[in-house]
Amino acid sequence: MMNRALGTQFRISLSPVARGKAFWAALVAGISMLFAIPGYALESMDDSEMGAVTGQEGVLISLEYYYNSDPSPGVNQGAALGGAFGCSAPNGGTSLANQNCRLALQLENRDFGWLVFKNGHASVEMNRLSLDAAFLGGDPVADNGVSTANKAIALNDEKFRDESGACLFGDCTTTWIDNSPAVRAQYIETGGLYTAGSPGQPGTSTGYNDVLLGMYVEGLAVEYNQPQVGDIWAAAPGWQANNFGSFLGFEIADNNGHQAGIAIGGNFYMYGF
Amino acid sequence: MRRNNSLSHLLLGAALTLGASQVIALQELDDSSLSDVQGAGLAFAMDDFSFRFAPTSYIELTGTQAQGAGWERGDARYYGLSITNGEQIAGMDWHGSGCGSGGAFGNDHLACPMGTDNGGGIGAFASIYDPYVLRAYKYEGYDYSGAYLSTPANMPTVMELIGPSDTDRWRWSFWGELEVDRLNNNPADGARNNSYNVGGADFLQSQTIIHGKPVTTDGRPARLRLMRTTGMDSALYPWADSNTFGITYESALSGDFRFSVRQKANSEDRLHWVPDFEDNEGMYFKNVDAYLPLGQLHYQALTLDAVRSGNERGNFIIELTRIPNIAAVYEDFYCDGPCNIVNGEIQNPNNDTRGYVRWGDFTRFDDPGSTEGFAVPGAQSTDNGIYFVGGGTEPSPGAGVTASTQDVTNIGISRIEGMRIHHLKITTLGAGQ
Repeated sequence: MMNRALGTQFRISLSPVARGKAFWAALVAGISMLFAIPGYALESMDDSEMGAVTGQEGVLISLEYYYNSDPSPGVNQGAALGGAFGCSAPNGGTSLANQNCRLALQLENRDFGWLVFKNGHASVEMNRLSLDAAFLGGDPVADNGVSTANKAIALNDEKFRDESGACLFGDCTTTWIDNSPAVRAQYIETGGLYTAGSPGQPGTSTGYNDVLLGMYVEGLAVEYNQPQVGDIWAAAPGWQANNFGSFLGFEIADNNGHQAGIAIGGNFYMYGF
Repeated sequence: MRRNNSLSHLLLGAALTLGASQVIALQELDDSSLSDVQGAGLAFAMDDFSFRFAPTSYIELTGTQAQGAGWERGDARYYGLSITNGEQIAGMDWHGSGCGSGGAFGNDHLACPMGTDNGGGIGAFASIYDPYVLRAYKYEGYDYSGAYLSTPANMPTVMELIGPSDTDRWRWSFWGELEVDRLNNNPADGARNNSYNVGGADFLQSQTIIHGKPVTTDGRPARLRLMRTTGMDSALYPWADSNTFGITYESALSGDFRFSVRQKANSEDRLHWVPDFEDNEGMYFKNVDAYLPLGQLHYQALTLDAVRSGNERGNFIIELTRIPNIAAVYEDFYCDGPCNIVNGEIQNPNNDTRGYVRWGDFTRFDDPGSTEGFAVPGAQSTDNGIYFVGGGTEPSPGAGVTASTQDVTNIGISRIEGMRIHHLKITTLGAGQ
């Protein structure tokens, strides 16, 4: 993958929360899930060391990622960065050649060219995702377990067996699953409201701020590394070239801003076998 | 509640779940060790799950300049994409002005695009007893060259995500807006194409609601597999060693569907304004059951490519590759084991490759004596098959209207069986010199 990014900003903030049962593994769990460094998890198992760790009752996480886009709060949040080193005002033509705001993909044995995302920018914010440990089938409050409705589905034990029928997860019973530990990510359902507009001002949404997601790509096209004999277009590497315009563009946004608002609710459990 | 698991068990469990299973997942990619750990994977359960785009937030696909005379530019937006509770009738709409079924049109769960019971949450979007499973796995099978791969050393590893075989019912919905001829519309509409001025953009707004499960009626889950193709160097694929990124996807969906466009009398009906859709009108599909397998291990996959020569260069290709013209592969594609053909009819068809879409429940159509399922629909039935509810005065006849014009017309049940896709190729044509 090639990309030329003017401004890429990445930030994760963690804060401990004093709620839920004191699960020692929570901080280790959160960090290992985020950064995929399993070694940390194994090194941190000494109880005496863990006792001093803050955030042992779970962590709240917020995450921001801005790619060629403006992170400052306000009407321009998520808008493309402009200027000499920024994105171009979309015009369906020369703007597609912008070199600052493009990203290109190439697959194995498709090395004659690149799929180029032209004149694009993106941003994502995840706000206040709660990470904690849980017993899958435990009490929903004391153990962070699932709801009664979630347990009303019949056991599909084939999911936990290999092709010969051997069980890969304890004894493949609901009791075993109920008592199994898991990592839980949680969003409290907060939703949002729509307020109808008035002439000159379309309606607005408030709330819907668990995730803010903005994405804009003016054009997509395949660009080739070399012209064929007889062609006159530039022999730039495909990821730099702009000989073929666009077949599609797309955008994720809101009528009143550059980022879509998304409300997410629920508990997400990850376990393994 | 005290349980058997000690603290150390928990610590180990949580850490191993997170840390070690990632290690195992990586080790599974090693061919030599894979036979020992087949089936292991990560499980994901989702409880009280809901997902809602704001009513004013959208995903938009934009075309290019019109391709010449006779073409109009169209821009499609999908607003308010939602996945919410479908077990209970109670619901809400994007406009927030209320919605509900009168029970007369069979639209108990299809009048409102979003469920509100349980805070909108789906209790068993993925149960802990039937979760999503992500794993690296090896399957036997023919590759593109016709070789049968069956040993740990030569079976390709695929990464697969297997969906639940049963879930609570949920509502999946969005409202759409198709704007026509954007660039020639009133420039006073502004950068965001607001149409509050006279002469604003032309558009069509619609809502789409699905009430169901991501599984077939007989419990077949959706399944996604990612892999590197194997043996793709036969005469069908003339460029040398053209193995590339491949995808197979088994699509499974069952439930009810409604598509409608009519708005209530007091709806704003302006471009980009959230509409207040009428609660009954629309096109309904009841008891839909669909299974569509795209690709077969290891001889057919969705691949990505580009136009390589000629004046359509710059365009992108999504291709469900051709079934290799090899007898053994065709036999595998059509039959479950060696083909048993009697009087020209396959007695042991391979059901994993046979897609179907059923618009309506056929239980009693196929077996008139059955008491299961739903009756073959009559002209005004609203519990089975495909029907339309007319847009008229609602919720009841108004001033000067002597009868409701919300008539029901049921056009029956319909089905496509035995859909086997030998080859499918989609090429975009918007790019070019």
